[in-house]
Amino acid sequence: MNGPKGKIAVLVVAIIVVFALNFPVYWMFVQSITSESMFTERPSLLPKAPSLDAFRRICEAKPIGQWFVNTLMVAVGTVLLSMPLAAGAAFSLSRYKTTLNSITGLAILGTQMLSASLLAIPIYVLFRRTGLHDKLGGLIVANTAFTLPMSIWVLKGFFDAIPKELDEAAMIDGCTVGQMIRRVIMPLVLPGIVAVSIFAFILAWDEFFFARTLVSSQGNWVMSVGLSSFREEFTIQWSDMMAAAVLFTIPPIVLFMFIQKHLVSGLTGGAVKG
Amino acid sequence: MVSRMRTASPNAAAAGNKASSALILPAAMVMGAVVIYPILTTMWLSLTDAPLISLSPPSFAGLSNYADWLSNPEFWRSLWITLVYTFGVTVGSYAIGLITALLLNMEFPGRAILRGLVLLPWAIPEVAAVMTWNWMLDYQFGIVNSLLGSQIGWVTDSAVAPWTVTIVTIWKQFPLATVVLLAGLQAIPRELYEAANVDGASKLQQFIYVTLPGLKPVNSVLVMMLILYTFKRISIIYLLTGGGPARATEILPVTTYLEAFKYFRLGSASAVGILALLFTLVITLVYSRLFMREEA
Repeated sequence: MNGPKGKIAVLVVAIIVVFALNFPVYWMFVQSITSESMFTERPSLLPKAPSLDAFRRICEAKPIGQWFVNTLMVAVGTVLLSMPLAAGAAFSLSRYKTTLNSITGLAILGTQMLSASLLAIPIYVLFRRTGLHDKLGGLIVANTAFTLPMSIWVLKGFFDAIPKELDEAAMIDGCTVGQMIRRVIMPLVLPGIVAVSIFAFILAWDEFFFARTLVSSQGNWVMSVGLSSFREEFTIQWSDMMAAAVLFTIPPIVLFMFIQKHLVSGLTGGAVKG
Repeated sequence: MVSRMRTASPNAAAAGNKASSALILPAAMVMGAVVIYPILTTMWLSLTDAPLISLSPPSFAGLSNYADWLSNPEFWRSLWITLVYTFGVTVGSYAIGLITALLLNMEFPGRAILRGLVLLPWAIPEVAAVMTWNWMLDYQFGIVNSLLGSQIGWVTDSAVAPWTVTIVTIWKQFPLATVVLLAGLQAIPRELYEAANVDGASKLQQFIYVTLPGLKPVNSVLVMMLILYTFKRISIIYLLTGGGPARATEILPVTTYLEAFKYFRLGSASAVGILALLFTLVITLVYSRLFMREEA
């Protein structure tokens, strides 16, 4: 098994398994460049007469640009709102054991049990009362609620990795807590903050359920809602839908590649040393 | 405690406590505003007859919403569907996660690339994934029926749809298991395998006596995550079947959603949402009692 032949055999099996599992992803890309008339024939696994017509059609017929800008604004807004909060809370949870910290820590774990449909009801009521309903700003707040616990948890892992002795040395040298965080801790934890920001961005970019329930006017639709609307049309234009899906998918996939290596330690909250 | 003792001075410790509160308070307040407050609101709503858009304040209805749900066979059916779905998805995700992790833990050229590629189903947006599955499973022109030469109503036949949503969810979720199990496999000391080799253990014996026990530390966390993520998962089923056909795939989060945003009964929706939350809590507590105590 350990000879070069064995390795090639494993490689072949691994390629088959991984590619088979990724068939739907492949199919999405292939069908986005397949012309609609092909769909009535027996489908072929390889793209026949590939064209970018579907992409042109959806850019003309649908407000894809608007959806894209809305999604971008919501995702960036979520990162800008949640990261300062997450960084402060994560540092505090990593360094101090107070009652407030224990309660917040428990609340963070507790949020993992809440389904989006349960949270959507009171948030809907709250947004109706405060005028945040049907606003991209409201969506940013709702997404923050949903990404914040995860961001705090993952960032805490990055802070935990910085030895406490460093804080103490800085304090002995006469730094205030603020200076210590700014000059000593922040530079060290910056890669973590970047990774978690990307993670929060992806979560907010992909988010569908809040966007579906908390926003009603079409001008405020994000990509996920726009994409799902293809299905509600009388005759579904499948290649158009796949083209929109491809456009929606590319940004998070590119970002995902940057943070892949941080995922394990982050997701398991340090239960596994990744 | 030891590190606290070594802090520069008592003043510094006090400053630290103040800083601690100042740092966590903003996040704690936001979490309170968008998580704790909503839960309390939902609990209150569940005791009223609030419609979705109310002009007058809702009137107090006591526990009648809960009584209605608990005496409604549809609720128990939904709960059963939720449990079966959660169980199926958890087992399936774990199994495929384990197979892929074992495969990608072997040494072969190009391993790093395949390790990245196997995560794709998880990395692509849920809505894009489900839309693709919708197309693949299309009754008339979908690739699945075409390849199988079959005429199966994957999302329209109430006997098949529960399987369909389970398989699609497994497909979307298994890479999480792959990542975690791969990390778990890498944490098993090589010496254990070498020792087993010296003792003449077969590959299968090594798997049973070295690999499986070696995964124990990650298993408890992973299975808990899989259960929690599946139990509250809504978008996949919502977009594939909408809970149908004939409510065959209506898990409790879907029931909650439909009750609130389709039938406009906020009070009743809140009650079923809270009931689902209680079941999640019970499962979590029982699970952590059974499996997580020894590692804690």
